[in-house]
Amino acid sequence: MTIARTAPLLEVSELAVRYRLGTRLFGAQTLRAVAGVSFHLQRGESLGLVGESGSGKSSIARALLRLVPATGSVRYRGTELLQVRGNALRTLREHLQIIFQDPLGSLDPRMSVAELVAEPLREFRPTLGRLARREQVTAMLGRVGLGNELLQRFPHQLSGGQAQRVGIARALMLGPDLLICDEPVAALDMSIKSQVVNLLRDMSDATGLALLFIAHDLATVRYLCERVLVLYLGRVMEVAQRDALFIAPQHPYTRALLAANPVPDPARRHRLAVLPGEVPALLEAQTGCVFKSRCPLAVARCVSEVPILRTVGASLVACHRAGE
Amino acid sequence: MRCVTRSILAMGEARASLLQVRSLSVSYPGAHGPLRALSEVDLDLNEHECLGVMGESGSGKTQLLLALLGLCASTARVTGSIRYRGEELLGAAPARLAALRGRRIAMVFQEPQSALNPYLSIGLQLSEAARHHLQLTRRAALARAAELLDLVQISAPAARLRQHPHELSGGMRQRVTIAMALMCEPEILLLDEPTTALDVTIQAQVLEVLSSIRARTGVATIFVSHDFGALTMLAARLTVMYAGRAVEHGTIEELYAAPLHPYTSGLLRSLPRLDLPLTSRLPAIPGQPPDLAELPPGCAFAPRCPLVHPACRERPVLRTRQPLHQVACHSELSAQRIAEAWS
Repeated sequence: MTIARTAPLLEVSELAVRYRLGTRLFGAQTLRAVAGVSFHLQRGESLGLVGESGSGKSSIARALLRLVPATGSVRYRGTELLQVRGNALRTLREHLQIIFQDPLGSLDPRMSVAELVAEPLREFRPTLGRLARREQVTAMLGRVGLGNELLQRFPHQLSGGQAQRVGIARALMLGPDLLICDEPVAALDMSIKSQVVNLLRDMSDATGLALLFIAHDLATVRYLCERVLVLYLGRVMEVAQRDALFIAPQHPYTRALLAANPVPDPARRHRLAVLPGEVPALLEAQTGCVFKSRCPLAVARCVSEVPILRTVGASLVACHRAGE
Repeated sequence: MRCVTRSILAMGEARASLLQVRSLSVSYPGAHGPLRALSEVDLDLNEHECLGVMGESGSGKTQLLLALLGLCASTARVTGSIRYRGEELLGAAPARLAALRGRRIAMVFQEPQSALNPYLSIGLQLSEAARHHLQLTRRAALARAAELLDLVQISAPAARLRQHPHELSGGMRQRVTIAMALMCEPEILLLDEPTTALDVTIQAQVLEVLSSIRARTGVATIFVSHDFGALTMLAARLTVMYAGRAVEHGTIEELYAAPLHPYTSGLLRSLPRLDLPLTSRLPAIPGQPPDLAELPPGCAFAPRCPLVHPACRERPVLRTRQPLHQVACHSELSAQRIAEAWS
């Protein structure tokens, strides 16, 4: 027990996700969405996974939930998640929840808010009486900032922000210890986004819930996450504590991501430092560093040799040239 | 810097503006009475300038652009006035509008993949408007298309002309739609969230392309976005929209430094920032934008406003509070006092 408490809540090592495209007959191709990703997450910690499209961040989330086949190792609460089957997997899922980018698409349109929020209890706490269930549902709606007047509404009658709160209420109903958030605020309006970010932060502070927060928006990640992992083309570029990453980023890609955000202050308007090119297709075989085609610092070694994660400054960085 | 902007604006106001919109309203029939998507919006666009329009979903920003092009759905009721170089466009003959669209006024949409026809080559789609409006030959139109692909910084333009949309990345497709909008050298370019669907490094590329195009061609631009950071890259003046109305208008510097509408003030404070010290919480605006079918009779922002007052039951009109700064709010408080009301 003591060991279990000090061990990380989630320990991912050498995770790889491959998708096969096409049929064997006409020559199947393999798309490597995630390759050799390792990280860990402590109880109550919030870790940000950041990257652009194709970085593999959503594939990692799906792999952790066993929604796509993956190789490597994912130890969650001391159990090898990629091996469990049947009832054991069902039990683990009680503690491991997800909220999605599209709040409306993730809710069954035929269920009322009351039914949606009660569903996890019906499934996992079948012995709970109707009154007790209703009490828990109302209490949870209150915690996520929704009034009882919404209980009988259906998803199409909710705004995006309300629907995302219903998604959060559903995910928190069973008292999970890990919440995977796959771009939960990307589709929300500006004035609603900060409300939901604050709500996630309060929930995490109040219940010791660990967050794996997947986003492309670095400014939001900075508010919510204590540690940040930057992905590019399915590989880890840099991992660091929040302050280290935002104040002294070591990887050229992290620097480019930070520099690409316009400063929302017209008095400090300046030309954006533009990173050339685009994310290459995942199907192309990669030798050396995956970022070399866009990297301003690339040298011959970056073409021939894959950089491995090493400590530079306060970061773990996969770059041959970091720290020079 | 601000003085220069002001003197240019003052000159612009002395002349007739390129585009003059007065009391523009768009409503759609709804189950419980009309749905007011846009209400009594005024705006002026001067030659060569870039006007930003900021708002959330349902604020009417896209309806505004569609109304300018006469592209609102057939059930829409559009009233008011849209004058292009003095010519009234509202109620103009469809043939006249068709002659202006793509020729004098062109638009770039949010989703490049749905703005392009997947079956046709890039060259054919780019040259279509120039062949139709400018009567260019196929060869001349393709040559112009290649020039424009070069202008939007797409490499190997000649080869790209033979490709189809699915062969291009999202960022490249958006640059193609920008090139397409510029084919006939329009005087007005309407941008509807052109970078929202793009990754941040690609957004930076597209914003740079747009800014260099504006510097080279001087095309007057209306840039609609929810992203204040992106707006600062291009816009000199800004209109803030809420629930179908323009609630604040001024130079972007002044709106940022001293917003006088509680909505603008609250919104700018709530943006997560990379450039400021971290605070423990994001200062959020409570509540949610109103349902357009059930707008309150007075100020639509009143239910969320920290300064709400009995006077807010009357709808506030846009009043000039500073020489180039208009606000639709009953409050007479300074920007600083409004900011304090939020904290």
